[in-house]
Amino acid sequence: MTPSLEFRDITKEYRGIFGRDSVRALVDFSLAVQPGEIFGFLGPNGAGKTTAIHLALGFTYPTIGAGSMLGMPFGHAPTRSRVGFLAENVALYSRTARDVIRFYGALNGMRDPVLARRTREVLDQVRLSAEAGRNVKKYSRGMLQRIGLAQALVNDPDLLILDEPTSALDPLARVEIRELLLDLRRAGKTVFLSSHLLSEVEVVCDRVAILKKGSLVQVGRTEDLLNAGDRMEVVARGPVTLLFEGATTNDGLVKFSIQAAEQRKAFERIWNAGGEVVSINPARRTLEEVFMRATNEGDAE
Amino acid sequence: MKVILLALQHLQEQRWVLTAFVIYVFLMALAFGAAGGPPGPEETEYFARQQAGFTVLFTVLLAAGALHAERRSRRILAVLSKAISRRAYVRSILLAMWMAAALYILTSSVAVLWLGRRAGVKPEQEMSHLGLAFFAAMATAAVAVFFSTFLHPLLATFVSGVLIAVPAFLGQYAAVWLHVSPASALMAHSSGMLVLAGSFSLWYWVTLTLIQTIVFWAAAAFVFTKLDVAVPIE
Repeated sequence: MTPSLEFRDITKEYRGIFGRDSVRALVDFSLAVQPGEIFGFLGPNGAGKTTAIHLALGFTYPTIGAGSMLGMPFGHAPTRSRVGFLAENVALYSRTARDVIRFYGALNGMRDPVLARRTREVLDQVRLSAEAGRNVKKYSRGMLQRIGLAQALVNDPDLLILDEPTSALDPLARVEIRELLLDLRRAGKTVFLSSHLLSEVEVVCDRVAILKKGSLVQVGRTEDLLNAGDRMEVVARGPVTLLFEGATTNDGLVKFSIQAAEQRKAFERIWNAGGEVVSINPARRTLEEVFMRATNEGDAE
Repeated sequence: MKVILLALQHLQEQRWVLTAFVIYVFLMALAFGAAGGPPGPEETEYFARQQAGFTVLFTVLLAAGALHAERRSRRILAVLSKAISRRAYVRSILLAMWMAAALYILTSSVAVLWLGRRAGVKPEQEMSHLGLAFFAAMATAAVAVFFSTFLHPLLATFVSGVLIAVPAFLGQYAAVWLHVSPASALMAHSSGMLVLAGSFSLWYWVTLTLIQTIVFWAAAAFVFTKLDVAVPIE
């Protein structure tokens, strides 16, 4: 299957005047996003996430390497009619929200009555129908982000590229956007989501890539990354707190993690101390832990 | 259609500047036509020549900053994320600048017609000056947009100004210099800096100016397709 988005061995270098002060934003960067998945793109500030997105959309060109979007080389303008993009800092023309949506839809070649119908639909989706007649320059940052999302959705894109789509939104709006993304996945759309909100990414993304200083340091299924491998999380009751390193007590229940191979030995220690095992489950990490580990590795050296 | 839509948007972004230009033309016309009695034919001609020169000047000022404003505000990202090619984007900017120049010429023409009526003359020659100034403005817009693709707007304005003004100045001494920038010839002729005479007709200069427009338009589109547009030139 042709990836919806593919970066192949891309290096992007920003050169200063006369080649001085050059910065390598991406180094040998390769990544493939498959159709129908929500892909989380993570990394600290300055890791190269926005550069990668700008390369995909043809705003910038790779110094080395190439890539494709929906099967066509980066920068192929007609292909962008099947793509939606929301920039990190939404900057739109000063018009009413309805006109903004219509304008950007028309730039994608949409015409009435389809454009009129889609404009109504996306304004409903982002809950801005009541404010559709207001000029967007009077919008709050959160509203701007929602109208930015609406203009990205107006052409019913096969691939949606979102750069920090929920950073200015309140918790309620974030939940709505999350539902919207899940709806898009159900409709077979591909979503490439760059975000710092790891809890959001953890909930919605099928796969995740972590970028650090222009290089991929981790990529995989979200489930696999969150799975702590061969560690198990044990909950026990009784006088066993001191038996296990790192054990915590809450409401009389003792919680700790062990290597999977040490289950039997751990159970025996609990029983011998007069305690009982309440539950045992594969230990899970949070995406924040995965992210911190991936981005901090090597920094101490 | 997309290019026209985008050009109209660029024009709308300049609406306050254009409004100021239109008001300026009418105020100047009032000053020429109403203050101190009816104007004479010389005053009508002077006004027309002045507006012809200003058309080129204002077009350079607008055109040199248009692309930069879009990049700096990052509005360009939302536009170029749609099915709009870089070449089409340059076309839209140029079209907007030409429409702005046409609006200025139209306003000036109305003012000249009014002045001519008050002066009791048919301002045919003055109208032809304004017509020639439009062709010159088309070319200077292309020149300014070309330089603004890779230079800061101030520098682009300066370089474009030099490219238009220097041949016009040197053309007073030797007509060969006018071939460096044919738009300069039309600008200088319409604003009264020099009279284009000799073996070349005005249509010759108009044709060369159109060629200059196309060359700089193509060059601007070529350079713009090679640039990183996400980063404004500082």
